[in-house]
Amino acid sequence: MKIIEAKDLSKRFGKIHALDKLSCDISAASIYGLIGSNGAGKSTFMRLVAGIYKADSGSLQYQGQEIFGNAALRHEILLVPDQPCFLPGENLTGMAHFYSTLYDHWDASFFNELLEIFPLDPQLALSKMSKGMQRQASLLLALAARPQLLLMDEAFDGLDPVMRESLKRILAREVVENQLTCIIASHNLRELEDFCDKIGLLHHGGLIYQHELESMNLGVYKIQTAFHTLPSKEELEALGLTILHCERRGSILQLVIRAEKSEIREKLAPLSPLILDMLPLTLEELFIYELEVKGYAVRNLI
Amino acid sequence: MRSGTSSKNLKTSGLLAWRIIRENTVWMVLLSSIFLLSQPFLYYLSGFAANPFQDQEEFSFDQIGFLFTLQNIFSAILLLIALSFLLYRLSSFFYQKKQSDLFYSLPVSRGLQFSSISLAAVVIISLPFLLNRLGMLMAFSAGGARSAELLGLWSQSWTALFLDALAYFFLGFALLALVGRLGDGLALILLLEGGLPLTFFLILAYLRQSLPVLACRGRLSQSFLLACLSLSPLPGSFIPRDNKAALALRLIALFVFILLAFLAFLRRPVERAEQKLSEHPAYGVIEAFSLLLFGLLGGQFFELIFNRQTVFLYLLGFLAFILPARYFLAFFSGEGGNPKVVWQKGRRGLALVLGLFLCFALICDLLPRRSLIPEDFGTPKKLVLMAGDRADLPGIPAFLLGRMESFSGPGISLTAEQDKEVIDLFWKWQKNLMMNCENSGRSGLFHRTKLNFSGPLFAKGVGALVSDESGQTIRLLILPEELSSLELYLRSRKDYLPLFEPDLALKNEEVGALILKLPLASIEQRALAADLRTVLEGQKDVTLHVDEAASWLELKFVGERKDRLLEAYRGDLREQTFFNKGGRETFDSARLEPLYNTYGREGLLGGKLFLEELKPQTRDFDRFWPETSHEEILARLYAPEDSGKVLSPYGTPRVFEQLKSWLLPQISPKEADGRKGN
Repeated sequence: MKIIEAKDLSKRFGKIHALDKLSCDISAASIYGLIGSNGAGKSTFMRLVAGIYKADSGSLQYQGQEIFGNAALRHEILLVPDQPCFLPGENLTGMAHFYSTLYDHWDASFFNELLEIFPLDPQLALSKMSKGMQRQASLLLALAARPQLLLMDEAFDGLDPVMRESLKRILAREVVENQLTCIIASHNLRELEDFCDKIGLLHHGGLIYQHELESMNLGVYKIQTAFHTLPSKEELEALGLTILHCERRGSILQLVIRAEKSEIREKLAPLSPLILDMLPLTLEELFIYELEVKGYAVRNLI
Repeated sequence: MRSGTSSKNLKTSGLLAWRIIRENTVWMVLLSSIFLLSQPFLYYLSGFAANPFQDQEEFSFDQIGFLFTLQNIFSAILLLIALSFLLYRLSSFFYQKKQSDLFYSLPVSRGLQFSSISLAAVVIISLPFLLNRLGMLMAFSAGGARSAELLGLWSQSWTALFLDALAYFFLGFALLALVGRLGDGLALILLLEGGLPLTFFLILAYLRQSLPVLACRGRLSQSFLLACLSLSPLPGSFIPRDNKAALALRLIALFVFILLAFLAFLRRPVERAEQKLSEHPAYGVIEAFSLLLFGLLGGQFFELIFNRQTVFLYLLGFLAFILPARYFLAFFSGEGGNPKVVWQKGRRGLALVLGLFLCFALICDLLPRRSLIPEDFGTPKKLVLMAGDRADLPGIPAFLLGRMESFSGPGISLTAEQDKEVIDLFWKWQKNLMMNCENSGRSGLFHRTKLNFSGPLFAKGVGALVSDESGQTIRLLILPEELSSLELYLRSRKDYLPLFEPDLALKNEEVGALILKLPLASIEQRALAADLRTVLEGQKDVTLHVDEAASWLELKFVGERKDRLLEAYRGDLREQTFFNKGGRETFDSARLEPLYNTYGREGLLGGKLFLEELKPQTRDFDRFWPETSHEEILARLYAPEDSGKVLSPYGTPRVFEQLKSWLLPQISPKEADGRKGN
């Protein structure tokens, strides 16, 4: 079941196109990883889904209902922003009380359970906590509000490895047991790799890639190959291959190709490769190679 | 279901409001403390503590007026600062990127958010007000105030001030919501809220006039200016004008602003939330403008508390206010609170503002003083002081004018030309009638004009001068709700009559009739009318006309009766005048001696009174009559050319009683006694 459906979603800030006709859908009870270059529009998308921003055009629906201006939906959707924010001078207990009166599904017992996992002093003023502790407090409050859709902007930022792992487990449990849907925006691709069900890659306000994580590597492969005579990129492309990356290292040619394994073997066969190793791409590599095609290459930045 | 939702909404709104109030508790307490502490401070400044007036039944109007104005100005400055700060505090939830994420993602509609903020704002603004007023009443009670009018006078302005404060808050809120960005919003607020008073201030300074109502001669622009000023938070608008029309205007404005703020908040673009105000491109302009406003307020404040008008003093106040203001601004704009950094960053802004001020001061001093009095103005022959009625107000123009309503007397409708004439009369006579501009709360920057009338009456919108069709009679109409303060004024000064002379261009004019026109508002007044009717029955040279429908009584004296009355009246006038004008510490019997030789014993009656009750009553003698010696004043009062003036008092319950006790024996002592005996 689709919990979020975005169609041709656009949002501008002055001359900047933060989102440009973005379309995507996110299934319920899943974890959706949102990755992308800086300024790609991840946070904007999050805020649109949270009902904070209003889209300039296109539609954005939560279970068939328009999100913006629907205060009731905000009981179901909760945003954990990249910079945790609390009421000034408040401590965790005070914030919990505040949330408990605002959110219909506030779960006090779950809050207490989470307090045992996240070792926070509920009486300590939140402003005096460290960045990581504030992050924990923010997540703790968000989870205890029992939303159906949890939006986490840079969720793991500032958390130590133990807390990261704990959070992952809690989220996984909530997805399975309580049908929670998570959208996580992060630059920490390694964190998302073994955690998300689906990945969306944003660049310049558009979704350039959206795939189930399990099936993602079937589509793009990193190939190390050697030939008697090294073919040029153009010659390889003439074979009908979509080359995302082509790099020569001595007599070895390193390629990133978007195609099925069999198709790659079949198309490279006429060139009689001496070696042909096909390796699955990590999420980070996928990110780099996909954006390289869009002109966002590492070398261009140095 | 629906009622469940609305009760939940109410609860949520209340909860949010409570949270906002709680977060601002410290500031609210601080604000209240400042307000409360300001009272003893102002009390002290007024010289009240060590004043012989303590022995008197009531304070002098001058003293009250001064204290009152100070308190208003001080409150206004505090309010302006506090409200801007409050606006910033309550709005920053929505205008700072980090916090707007939290608040806009809460399951609370914008309408509820608005009502929460509004509720919180009203509570936060009300509390210091209430404490302030309670403290004030207590202070006055403890200080020996026994008059209900006095307390009434003190509490007179709070409603207007409170409504002004709310209106300012909601207007600011609306502007912020409209533009979306804190920086833009503040810039707009400053321009709108500060621009008008600033422009106005500059005009005043240029013209060297004190009364704002007279700064602009065109009727339309005058109305517009005053209407705008009424909505402005600067001191000018805090001059008490608690008449119903002004309050109604304020209420209407407040509701409009609330509605505007609500609509704007519903549509507010969250996207425009920003990180820091200091990063705003227009921050330099905001800074300069804020500092300039603060500086001008400071100058005016210093001018008021030291009761002097000099450029040096103004400059001192200017500096005293802009330096803390710079730090204040730096703190809230996110520049940081490091004094060194603030000083380094703010040097240019401060220099610019100071330079602007000095340039302006220089230009003002170099420019020739403008005469605003028309040269070809005719001389009125009679002056009638009487009470007016709200029904006399011709509606909207007076309503807008607020302060100096020009309106007709009973049964007289003024044409447009006459109306203009009244304004002109005011211009002409302001030199004589408008004094003590400091007390009006809106003194000009370099105002040095000597004016001969202590004018809180006019500054406070008590009344207006009107002329009749012939232009030969000037009437001072007093609004009934202002009568008590006027009475207080008259009672305390006792020199109200000489205020209209001797410069009042009535010299050598023989008066045809003396008219006393009195309202019949109370049973006592009606009883007096009946008494008068009986007493005057069949008497020569006196006619009594009682207009029951219009509740007016008119006594017209002609011929001998008029002369007799005038003579007696002038005696009374002399006595009072002598007592008050001579009431100086420096005025001793040795100086009276030559006067005694000249004017005889009777002429020195007032002097005797003075000697018996020698008290330094009026601190401002030299200010009132700087170029005139006491002897000269006496000489002028007793000079033969003074005969021919016709001046008459008017009625309010207390003055009426005084008038009754004075008037009846004068008219017909025997009959009056006879009646008493019967």
